Amino acid sequence: MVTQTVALAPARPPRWRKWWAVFNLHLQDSFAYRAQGIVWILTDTVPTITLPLMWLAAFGNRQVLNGFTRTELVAYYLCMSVCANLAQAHPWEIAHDIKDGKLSIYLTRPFSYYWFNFASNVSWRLVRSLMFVPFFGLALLVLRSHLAWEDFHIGWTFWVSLALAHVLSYQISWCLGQSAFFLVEVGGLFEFYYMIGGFLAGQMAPLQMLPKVISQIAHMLPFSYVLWFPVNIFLGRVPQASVAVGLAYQLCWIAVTAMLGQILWRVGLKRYTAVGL
Amino acid sequence: MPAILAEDLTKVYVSHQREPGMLGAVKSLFVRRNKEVLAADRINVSVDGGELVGFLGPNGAGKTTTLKMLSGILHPTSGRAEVLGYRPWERRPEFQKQFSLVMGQKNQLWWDLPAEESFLLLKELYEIPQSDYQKRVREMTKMLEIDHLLSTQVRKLSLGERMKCELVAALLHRPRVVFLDEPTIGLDVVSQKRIREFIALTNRQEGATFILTSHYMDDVRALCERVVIIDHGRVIFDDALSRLVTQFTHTKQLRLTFSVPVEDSEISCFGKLTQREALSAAVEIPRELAPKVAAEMLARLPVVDIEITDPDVEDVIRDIFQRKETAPTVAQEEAV
Amino acid sequence: MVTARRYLRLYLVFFRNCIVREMEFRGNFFANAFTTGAWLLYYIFFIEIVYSQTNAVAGWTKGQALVLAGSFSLTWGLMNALFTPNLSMLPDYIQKGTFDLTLTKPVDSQFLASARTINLAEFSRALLSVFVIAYGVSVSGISVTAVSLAIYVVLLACSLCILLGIDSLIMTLSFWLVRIRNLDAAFWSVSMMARYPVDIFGGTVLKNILTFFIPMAFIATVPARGIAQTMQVWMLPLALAFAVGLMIASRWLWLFAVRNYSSAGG
Repeated sequence: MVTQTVALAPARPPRWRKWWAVFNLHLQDSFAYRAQGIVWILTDTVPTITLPLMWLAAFGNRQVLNGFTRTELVAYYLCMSVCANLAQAHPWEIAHDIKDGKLSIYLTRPFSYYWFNFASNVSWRLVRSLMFVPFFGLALLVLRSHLAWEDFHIGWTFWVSLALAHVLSYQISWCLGQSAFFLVEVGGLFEFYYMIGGFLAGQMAPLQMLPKVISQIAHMLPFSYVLWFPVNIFLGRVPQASVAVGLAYQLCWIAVTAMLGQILWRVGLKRYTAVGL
Repeated sequence: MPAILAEDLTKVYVSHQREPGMLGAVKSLFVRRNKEVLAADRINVSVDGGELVGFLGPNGAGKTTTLKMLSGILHPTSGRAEVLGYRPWERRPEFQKQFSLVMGQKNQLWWDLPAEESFLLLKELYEIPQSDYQKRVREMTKMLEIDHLLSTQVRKLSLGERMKCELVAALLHRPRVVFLDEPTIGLDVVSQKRIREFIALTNRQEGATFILTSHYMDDVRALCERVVIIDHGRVIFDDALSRLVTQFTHTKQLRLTFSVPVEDSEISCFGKLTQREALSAAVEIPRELAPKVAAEMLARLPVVDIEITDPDVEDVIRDIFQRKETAPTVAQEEAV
Repeated sequence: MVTARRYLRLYLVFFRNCIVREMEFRGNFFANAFTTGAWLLYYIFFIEIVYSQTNAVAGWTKGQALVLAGSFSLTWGLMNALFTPNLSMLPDYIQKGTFDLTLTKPVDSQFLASARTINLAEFSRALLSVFVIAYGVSVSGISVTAVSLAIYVVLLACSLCILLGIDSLIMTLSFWLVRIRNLDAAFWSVSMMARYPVDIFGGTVLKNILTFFIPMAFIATVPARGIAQTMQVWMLPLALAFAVGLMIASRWLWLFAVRNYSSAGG
């Protein structure tokens, strides 16, 4: 893990240098240590292949299934996998730092732990996406007979929504990870989050395929804005007017989770320093 | 027939070395640097039934390797060994039921369970009859004063208590041969003493044969009449502890007290001056010359008191251990 | 016979110890039991969603697909309950040298190394799987006969043996290789494919690989076909051959590894 300290440069150097140092450090850390677990990416790749195959087998003689063509469905899962790699954050690192007491070290540094972890997440997402490329190639190979470029949108709205999704997912993880301040055992909660969060984000099946009540609930919760929303922009399924609304929702959820995260951080840190967890 | 017999027991480890990083990994696919380490080099030892022998030597000298071969954990590269008439590395259950291995740094008790549960498991493993088992546990735990701790989870025990439980676990099945690898490592003085007494008693009462390795001189002094010193994979000494000093030191110390001050030069002509005060001095001289030199000093110098001493065992052993600490290695380039 | 009874007794002690330990960490146990069960339901829900849009997936009715999902989860749950907790620790034991003590015990070392701990929480998955299978059978209207049930049980046993055999082979390699976990992870990822009917992979290369090369078809697809009586007859001997072959191979590799074992840290 990271053991180097962030250098404290003298006399107010430009802020970006500090940032770059932290980011660079995490980038190296990701390449050196975490990249060893490249095989685990295979675990994510299996559903990217099998879920669309399952749907394709369900088409039978039909050309369209609940509004999805074969190509669209395959594109949905492929895009989902790319977005998940770039956007989906995990709460484990924060929880571990709190539980192991490593947080104490970070607290003594002239760099906010929130942003430190943010940089860590960004760099790991990038490295992981890079490592995903060969596995993505494998998925393309298996699904090759259903690949076609339809009217997919990969313009600025997609990228903006993906960037906001990344921030939102990080915020959710930031809040969840801080549960380690208050709970003895966080594994169960995180597992539950992976299950429900992934499901409501449309990772298992497009929300359109779900019973109406459930998809309505999903639209009200933040999780669908982490994956489902950007993927649907890509598929061209979000009308121009709704894109702005969706982006506004994303911003809203970011604001809400940021507030929650702040409160948790204040209360949690008080507990942390008081009890000496 | 001796209980433990090793003849020319040899173990060579081959380890592949590779350079760090991706490049190193790729390179190692084609060219491998093999490093051979001679961990045990023609070890010859014979231990009779009921003996308690100490294996001493610096870290990496080959003690543990030898113990592992005698336990059947490792196959030797060459040589022969017999423990209770069995070849250990055949790992026959009849043999395994008659011996036991305790490693001070590895525990066999279940971490999250009370020690008693682990004992029960061992009872099944070694097929110990119920009545015998109960009697045995009662006796041993009482002797070690841990009878009140049996239903406490092992992880909640102190290091000393845990080690005592490990000992009980290892001796439940009345082994005839016991190997103790650093049984007192890291323990407090009181626990060390108690464990020592326990080992001595078990050895005496049951006639079990013990081989003990330890870094603590107190263990060795209290328990072992005979010690085997292994260094660089070789047995360099195998005899009574009391003989160690005579074999490894060739000097004696003469401590002199004078009635009037004496010049340095008057003393140093007899031997190496190691200590000097106004009215006293210490001189190191070859062992065989000691009586003659002492007599001469008495005759020529104003000596009121003279004392001839051996160096301390501990110092001797420390000396031996502090020589080079790594085994000789042979590195070779080998294309695969 | 005496040996069998002795090993059974030993196994019961292992079992008892694991229960005692789990009850120490009761909260954890229930949380694990809950989440493992929930993941099964998660997948069942996926099947429900797919079949809400269609009647058949690659020739599989909903009931049959449920039986398949249940069969996979049953084998998987038993594997995780009985063997994975032990096998996954093997590299650690070997690297830290704790394995040394295992070798000095008068009991078969492979038995001790692969049966010592039991993950009780995983039984919740296995138990739930039985209900899913029963539900699937009733939905599909399969009439289960004594023969088809017997065949099904045999096929499930084969599927457990196949998983155990492969994982055991992989983990035994850790006697020589340090970073074995990656290979293990790869295997578990691939074995996740076994929860889907192998027919969804079409008539492609992939299907043949999963049937004959990495025999994942035999984990769930074939047993489910067995009870639905849609199995080609030659699948049964093939499943048995894979199971027995892998068991023998893993035993052989283990004996070979232990014979050449050089323990850690001189």
